[in-house]
Amino acid sequence: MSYNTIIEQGNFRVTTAGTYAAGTILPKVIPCRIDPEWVEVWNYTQFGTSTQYAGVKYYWQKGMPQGAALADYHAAATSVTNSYLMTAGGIYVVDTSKGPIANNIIDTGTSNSTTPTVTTSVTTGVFAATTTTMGSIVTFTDATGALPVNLGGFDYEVGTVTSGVSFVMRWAASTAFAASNLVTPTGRYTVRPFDPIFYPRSRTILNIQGTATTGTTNTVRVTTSVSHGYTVGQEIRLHIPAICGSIELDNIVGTVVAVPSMGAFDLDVVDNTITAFTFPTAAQVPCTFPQAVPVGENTAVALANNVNVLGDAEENQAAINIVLGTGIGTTTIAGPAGTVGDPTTGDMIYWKAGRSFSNN
Amino acid sequence: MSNMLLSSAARINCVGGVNNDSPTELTSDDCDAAIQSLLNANAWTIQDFVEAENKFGTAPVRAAYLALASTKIQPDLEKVDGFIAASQYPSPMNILRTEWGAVRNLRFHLSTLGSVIQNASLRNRDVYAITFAGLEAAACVKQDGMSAKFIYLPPEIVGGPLAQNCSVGWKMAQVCRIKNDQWIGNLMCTTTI
Repeated sequence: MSYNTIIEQGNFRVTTAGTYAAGTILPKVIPCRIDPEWVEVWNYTQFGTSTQYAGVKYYWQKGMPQGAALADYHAAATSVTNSYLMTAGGIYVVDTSKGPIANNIIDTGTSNSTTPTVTTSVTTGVFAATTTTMGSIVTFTDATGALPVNLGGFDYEVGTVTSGVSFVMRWAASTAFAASNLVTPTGRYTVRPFDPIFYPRSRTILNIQGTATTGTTNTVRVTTSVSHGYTVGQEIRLHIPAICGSIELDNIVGTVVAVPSMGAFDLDVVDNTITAFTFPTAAQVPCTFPQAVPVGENTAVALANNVNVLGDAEENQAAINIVLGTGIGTTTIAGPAGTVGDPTTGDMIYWKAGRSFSNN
Repeated sequence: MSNMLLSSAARINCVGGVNNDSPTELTSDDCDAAIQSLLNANAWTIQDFVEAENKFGTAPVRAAYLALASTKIQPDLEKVDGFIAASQYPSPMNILRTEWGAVRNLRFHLSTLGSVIQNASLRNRDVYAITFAGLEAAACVKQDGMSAKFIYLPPEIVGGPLAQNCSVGWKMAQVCRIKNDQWIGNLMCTTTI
């Protein structure tokens, strides 16, 4: 199939608003509907400087492996540029409507915690969350049963990542998941490339707390395993299996009255005198996990809070993205996502992507 | 539509199977759970019953809710207690080509386009979503003037100086929407093979 030649271009600065958090450069995601066949990236700030390991130019074309790039960079602290064939940490083109991007082994296990720490030497494709952006979504699997079985079978969002060592889950369950010690590494985590592609999404519930937490009568705070994306005014139906307690909330529809964090929302309910909630234990698996299901919008609440009355509108959020990687280590080569993050003086990156009339 | 339902509709995990996974393979009890969730919400059935006839090897088929699934669940579906193959319907002339059979009040339609989540079960198997629905549970809204358009442009317009090429494309704008969340859901299952 051939298309006419299409080119897109743009630029961004590496800032705390998107690609720089806690001293770490994050991958830069650029939606690019044309499904590019080639991508060029220039680091305007580092061009002609003497910053060791900083890249100045990157190139990727279809046919090269995902994450690869032909790079020019400063191998030493001089303005001389050298060439480098990146095999990872370079440029990726990701269709978020497609399948998982990694199915990695967990080396030694998971910790006893409501937000388990997962030890693994392979953290490829696992990104940390920031205060405004989601972390990677993973699902846990284990062919032998060495992992706590109630940790598998649902999507779970990553909070922090220690590259090549471990990552920690972001949102806390009502009770701690049991620790696992994998003598033979059989546990796996699968990185989901993206959420289910349509918004609003149903979510697995990790915890439900009452007035003592919300500070308001007749409200409950619901914590989900992945950032929910719900907004004030949306109506949510709770599906609570009998094994979880809080059975009084089963099949109840409430309106979101507050969003205290990306992973929690406060729901108004008629009466919050509820039985304590317990996330399913390992002994109760297999089971249906508790869920929050978006069912509509309370227009009056949305208007009263001056928020979008169409907050529940169905939207396909799948995208074809260019992902600019973060390079290889700290002493080899920086990635096309830049080297220095700052709101005003961070690296300025220019990019150009396109698809060609003909491919030979 | 299937992607929207996978994102937004409630899920029931199959738990009655014996494949030591979470969710398990499809069983009769799991079909009952799906039927119960629709029945208790007063959902109407979509397909009419098929009346019994005096024919060998046939059985009457109840009025049924729709169950849409991947072709990969076919071996397990055939093992479910009470399964009636479409060929055993007394009057099979009105069934759709996708229909594989029925389990009590669920009639199963299989397609390779059925929803699947790769490597998502506890034992690293693919998880299949069997979307079950009652009448008018969901709808597809099309905007005026933006239903599917097939667009052909001849070489004289887009083919360049030598008119060497033409172009063909399509565009459409629509949105899928659940009308009553209690009349639809996803029965999540794995397979035994």
